[in-house]
Amino acid sequence: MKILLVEDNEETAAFITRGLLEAGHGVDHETSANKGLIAAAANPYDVIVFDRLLPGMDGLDAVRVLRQSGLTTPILLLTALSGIDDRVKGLEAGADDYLVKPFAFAELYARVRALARRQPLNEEPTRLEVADLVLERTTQKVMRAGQMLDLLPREYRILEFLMQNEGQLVTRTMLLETIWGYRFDPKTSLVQTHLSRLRAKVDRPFKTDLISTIRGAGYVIAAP
Amino acid sequence: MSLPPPRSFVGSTVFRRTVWAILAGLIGVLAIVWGAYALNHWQIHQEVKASILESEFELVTAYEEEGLEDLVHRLSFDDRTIWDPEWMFAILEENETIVRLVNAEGETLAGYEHIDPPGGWSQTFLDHEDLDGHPVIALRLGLGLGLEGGDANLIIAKFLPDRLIYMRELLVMGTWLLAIAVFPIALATGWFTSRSVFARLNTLSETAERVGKGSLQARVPLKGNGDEFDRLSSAVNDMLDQIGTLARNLEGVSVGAAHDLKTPVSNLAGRLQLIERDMDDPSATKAHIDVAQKHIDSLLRTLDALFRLGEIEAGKRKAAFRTLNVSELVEDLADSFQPVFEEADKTLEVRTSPRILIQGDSDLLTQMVSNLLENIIEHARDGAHAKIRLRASDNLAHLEIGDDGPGLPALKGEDIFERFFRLDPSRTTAGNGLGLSLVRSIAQLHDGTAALIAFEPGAVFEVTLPLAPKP
Repeated sequence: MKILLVEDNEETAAFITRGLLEAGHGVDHETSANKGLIAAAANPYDVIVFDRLLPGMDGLDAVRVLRQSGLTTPILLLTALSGIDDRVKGLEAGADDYLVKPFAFAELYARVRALARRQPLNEEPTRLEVADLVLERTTQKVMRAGQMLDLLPREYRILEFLMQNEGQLVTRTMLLETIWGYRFDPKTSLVQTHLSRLRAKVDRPFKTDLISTIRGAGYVIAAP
Repeated sequence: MSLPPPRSFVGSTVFRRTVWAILAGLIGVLAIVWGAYALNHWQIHQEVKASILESEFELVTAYEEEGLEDLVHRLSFDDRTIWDPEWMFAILEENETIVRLVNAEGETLAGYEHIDPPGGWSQTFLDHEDLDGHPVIALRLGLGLGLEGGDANLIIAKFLPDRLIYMRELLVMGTWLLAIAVFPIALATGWFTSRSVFARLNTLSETAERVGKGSLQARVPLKGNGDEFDRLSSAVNDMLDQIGTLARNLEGVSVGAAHDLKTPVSNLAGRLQLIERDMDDPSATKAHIDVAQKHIDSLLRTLDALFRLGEIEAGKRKAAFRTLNVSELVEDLADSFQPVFEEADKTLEVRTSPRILIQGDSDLLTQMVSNLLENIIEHARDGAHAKIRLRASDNLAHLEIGDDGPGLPALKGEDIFERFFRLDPSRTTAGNGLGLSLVRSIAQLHDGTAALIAFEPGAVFEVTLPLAPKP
């Protein structure tokens, strides 16, 4: 992947750049909104990571400019503000995802990969498959090894989200935001509890586990 | 900025106002008295004139019917046509009419000789050595045009009553006396009034100065008579009490915040040292890092909660309010938390009335309900039964979230909503003491309330929210 990072804070930038380079991706780093806009216009990127608070320009306005110029590259906004409205504003401006600082690199990376893989809506497959697990989106039926699984609606949505990001980390916060729509971090093990119930239905009756836990980060579904 | 404290009350507003008020009062009194006198004066004049006109009618009629000779005869007393000045005393006494009939040559034909007013109505004096101080109202008119001997003039006059004279003299004297006496009175009254007001205000401003210099426990002494100064003073005292409470709360909040922020940071520092020590042992290092991560999470959670509280209390979120189905919101949350309760060996029972609509912010309300549920998961005993009740009354949605034990000491009913309040004074248990503050702030942002209903055993939080106006 080729990623554009627009971030003025040196430490944050170094931390992100190093992580992405180590994961084998190309990173262009710019330190101001103007330079970021020029770079985004000049080169094709898979994902753009834009800081909200940049010298000279609000990252929100920069995203708006990029979208108005017809750029469709997925954009992840970073911010130190965790106001509830800020996220909505960011998404309204045309960002695809919004991440509040501080964050774990795993969180950022999971989101960047999810964005890079994101398909245009009309090209989304109607059938998701991971090994012998099949999810039919039209009928909302889930089968494993030819056996129908009886999932609750929320469990279905969690599984669908995991399968859309097959082989990639899905973080706890991503699940909270996507499945529950919560903008805060519950103290209790809400996500863990639901995942363990899902796993009890998807994995436990079968020989191999498809869903695995990445400790302190999130979950991955992948063929063994 | 504070002005130097005033030390003189002579220049004070109260003093000047008092003096002016007394002077204005005096002018008002004089105006009324003199006005009444003028009215009286006018009335008496009218009466005297009416009486003169009566005599005039009688005399003129007599003259026109009987002639001059008869008139002269009529005006004679004891066969004397010319009146003796001595008679005037009796006339004054009896309030009788003075008459003089005079021919064109100025000779008196009958009546009192020594009165000679101009034509028409006039006020004049008699030419009389003892009575020339008594004013009379006189009417002079021409009689008998074309008569032999030319025109005659008839003069009819009456004394003004003495009381009018006395009244006037009295008034003039009183006015002078008042004018002379009022200045010292006004100055003295002003001095006394401003001195007492100054004394009362001085205690107020002295207290304010003391509070300003930091002694927040200073209070304005009350006189106890319930006057306006006492009312002001007790309002100021109430205000100081309130400020004192807020300051103490703030102090508690700062201490709580400092503690709750310092604890994870010191733990973090400790872990960093452990990491350095155990560098050679990757598994131990990893374990330290995991713990350090937990401390950071707790720190961030506290900061987020503080930030959120500030945001809510600034009222910024109100603009984003929309009509939402709180029944659905609560059911969905309960559904999400049901498995968490089961894992924690507790039960959650939910009873909601359908389609209760309120104006609000679903993110915040979700956080509010989830805070209350997490509170139960954290604090209720194993095997506890939690319940959620949602119903609507006339104009309120009532949400009750509670459990059956172990409950909270009733004493702490209000304190638990304070920021950083902990039932455990050693603050060793998990949590940041902001959860319930958030609950209350969110309820209040929605113009609602949050309260604790304690019962044995257990605790129930009741949140009320105003219903959305019916379409």
